Amino acid sequence: MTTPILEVEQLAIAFGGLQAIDHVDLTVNKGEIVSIIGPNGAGKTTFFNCITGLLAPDSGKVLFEGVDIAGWPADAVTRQGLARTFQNVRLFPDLTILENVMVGRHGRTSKGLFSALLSTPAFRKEEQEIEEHAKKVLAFFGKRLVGYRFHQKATVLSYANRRRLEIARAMATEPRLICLDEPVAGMNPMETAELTGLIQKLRDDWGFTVIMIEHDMNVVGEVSDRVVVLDHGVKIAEGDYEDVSNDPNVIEAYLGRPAEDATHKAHTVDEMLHEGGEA
Amino acid sequence: MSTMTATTAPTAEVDLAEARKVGLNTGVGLIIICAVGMALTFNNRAIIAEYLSMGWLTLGLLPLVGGYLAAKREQLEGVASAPPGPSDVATAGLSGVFAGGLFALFVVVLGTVGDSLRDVFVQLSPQLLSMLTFERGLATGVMVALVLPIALATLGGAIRVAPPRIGKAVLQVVVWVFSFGVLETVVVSIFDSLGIGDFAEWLYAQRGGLTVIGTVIVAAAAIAASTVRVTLKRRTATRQAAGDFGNLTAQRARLYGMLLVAAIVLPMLFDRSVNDMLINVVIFGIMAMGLNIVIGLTGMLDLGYVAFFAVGAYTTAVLTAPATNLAFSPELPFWFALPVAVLLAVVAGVIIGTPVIRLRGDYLAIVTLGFAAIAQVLVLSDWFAPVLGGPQGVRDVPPVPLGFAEVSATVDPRGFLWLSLGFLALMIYVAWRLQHSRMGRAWQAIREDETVAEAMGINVGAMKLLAFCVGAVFAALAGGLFAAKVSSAFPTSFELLVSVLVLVVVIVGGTGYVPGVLLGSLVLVGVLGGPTTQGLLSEFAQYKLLIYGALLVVMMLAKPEGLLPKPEKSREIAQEEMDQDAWFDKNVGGSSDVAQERVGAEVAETTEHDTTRAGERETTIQTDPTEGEA
Repeated sequence: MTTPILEVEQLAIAFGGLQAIDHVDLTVNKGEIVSIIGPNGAGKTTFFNCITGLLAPDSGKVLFEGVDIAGWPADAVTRQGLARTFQNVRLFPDLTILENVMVGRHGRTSKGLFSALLSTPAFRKEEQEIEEHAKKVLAFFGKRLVGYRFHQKATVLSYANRRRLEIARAMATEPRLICLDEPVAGMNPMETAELTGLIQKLRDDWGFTVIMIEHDMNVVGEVSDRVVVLDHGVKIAEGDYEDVSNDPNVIEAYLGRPAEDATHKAHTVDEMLHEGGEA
Repeated sequence: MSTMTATTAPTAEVDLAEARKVGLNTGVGLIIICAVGMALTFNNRAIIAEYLSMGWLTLGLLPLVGGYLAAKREQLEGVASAPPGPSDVATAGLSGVFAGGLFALFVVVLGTVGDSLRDVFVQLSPQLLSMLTFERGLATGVMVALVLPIALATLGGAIRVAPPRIGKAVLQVVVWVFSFGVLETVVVSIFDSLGIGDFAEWLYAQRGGLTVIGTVIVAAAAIAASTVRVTLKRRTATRQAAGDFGNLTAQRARLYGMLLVAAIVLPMLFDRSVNDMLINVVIFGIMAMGLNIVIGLTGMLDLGYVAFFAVGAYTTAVLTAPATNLAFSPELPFWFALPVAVLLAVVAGVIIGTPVIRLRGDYLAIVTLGFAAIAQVLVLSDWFAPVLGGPQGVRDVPPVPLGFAEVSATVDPRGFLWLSLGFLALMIYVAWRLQHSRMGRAWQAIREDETVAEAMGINVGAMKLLAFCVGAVFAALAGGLFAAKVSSAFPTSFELLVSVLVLVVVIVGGTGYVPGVLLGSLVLVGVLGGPTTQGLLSEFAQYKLLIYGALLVVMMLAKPEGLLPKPEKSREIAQEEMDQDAWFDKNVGGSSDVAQERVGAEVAETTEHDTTRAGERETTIQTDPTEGEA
């Protein structure tokens, strides 16, 4: 039996006159990997921002495990169990790699000012727990982010490693649903293949449900249980990868309209040129 | 003539553009130092009696540094470039020609039409002219103005080109002679307390400044110290290369022990004025540590910080002083008043912080600037006058009772200094504990990227308010100490300028790093002087703001991380890196591809070995063997 972990109902947001998300419905079941695809400007990242609390939607519901989190502040959403990464990698550049991930534990820990000042045993135990968990999360990516790397600043990392670190940071918040915004963008084919495997492990070994925005159709085809296509803020298709990739609406969204319109335009241009020549 | 082949490095050439740029900047710098009157004011203090005044030292340092910078060529990694040589010295000398030419022109103008310029440039006085010409006529002055920068710039270039060891030694000599000359009162007071005052008479001339013999002794000591340090450093480097990093905990314990002994012993050796100055350093150090949490860690540019300092000072003063002009004076002991002051500061922090906490960057700066102005208006207002004393302030704040003695800065600064140092130690502990907790990490995350910090589950508003209030506690504590130290609280002590100066202390010292902030306080408040207090160099008093401003600009351009930036954990990293390298060599046997393939199964998860390069070598885990060839 499948239980929905996220139910988005009639979600809508407009920026001025632009309806960025136009009453979108989406249900994600526990343990699924769902990809959201669509041409540039389709509203994919805006959709993520709305469900993770960075933007408050104008209307609609975002039910996460039955609780409506629409309009909640981002930190509350994260503590509720929904973490995300960013399309344009946004690490804490001046913090070390370990500290970057330890920050992710903030919402899962509670010791306050006075226990820190007195350095109580409970506080030290919690600090130790934070560090161990962070190291465990970083070990998920093999030997790349461990060892002497712990104490290096995030700025020294290569692009691919920055993406990995961002995923590690999101994992440290102990989410049940993780939203990855273009996780393999800028990676070479080998790195992409590796990360594709790791995304599957996120579900199989860590038990996360994954929503992913991705442009790399190989990755989408390989890992997705379901693919959702957005265009101009509207959901135009949904289904498994095969169905969606053959859907005429999707092809139109990506490649444009069939030829009749185009020939008409060319005709007009031709006429204009002709007139121009005469003048 | 020269046999140029493809492999030889290009020969160095005199860089005219660089010389012109540096030289003209140096010349303008020299003129400004003279035109604002700094050179003449500083001329009254002798560094080496009868030979070198601080005025001339300031004028001389500029072309020296300029020449050094002009001779410094950018070395690009992987690009063949000529080794430092005579042409670099020539570039430096040429910069001196430009600087000297400009400066000589200034002397000519001063000597001929100086009188008519004085209406605007009031500092272009006849005394300045006689200083620059040594009272021997304009021709001498022009010659000196022309030749001195050329000679010094060439020297600066030569230092740059000479082996680094010699350059370092020269730098040490300059710094030591300057420090001994400037810190004359401190050194003499130490020698007197140690009972070797006679030696001080050898070192210093009657009317101030080092004697010639004293200069030689100091220079010799500087060279000796430089040599010892180089040897020690080399020994440490050899030891570390061999993998021996020593016992870090023991090293740290030794350092703390030495600091503790210094804190106890040194106040006994210093005289009153130095101890008095050090109290200011400590009080501003505490304040700067608090502002460091607000700005350095959390990234909130708070310019209204002085408001909390005032809350601390006035609360302590009103609660303890037996004031006759006030409606309310309970005359509580200091130890009751201080916690109340801290508590009130927290309340003030919440009241001021809550509405502004959502603002970012410049907006926060402007709003808090407004609060600083409001705070002073309130203190001066008739409305608060019955409680706070208006412009008269609160007087007769009693000394701090310690049970066995009463500590008063006016009677004995030494005791008060120890008391302040105790508070400083406490606050260093607090700052250190907070920085290395989940609160500290959250603050830094907010500084780096507020949106992402929020997306990581950090309640940004609450954490920022917490940082604001913690900063307020530091400022209030400093304020309480300040009121007890000067045994009063006047509105003039809490001008906006205080906020700005503490900000400069934090930035110049080293943002985000407590020892850096304390060093900043020592240098700025101790040597140059605080907002209302004098530093060691009373000459600086009228140029304080100019120097603070110039220092801020220079630091931002040349060393934005501050005088003493936060060190990376470089040693530990170096050690781990070497361990990893050793492991790699042993298991993989060099880095040949064949060898890597051989142990491929074991090393499947990658080992990155060369971390210093930006483009990393990535050996990838291949989840699917068929994908690998893609």
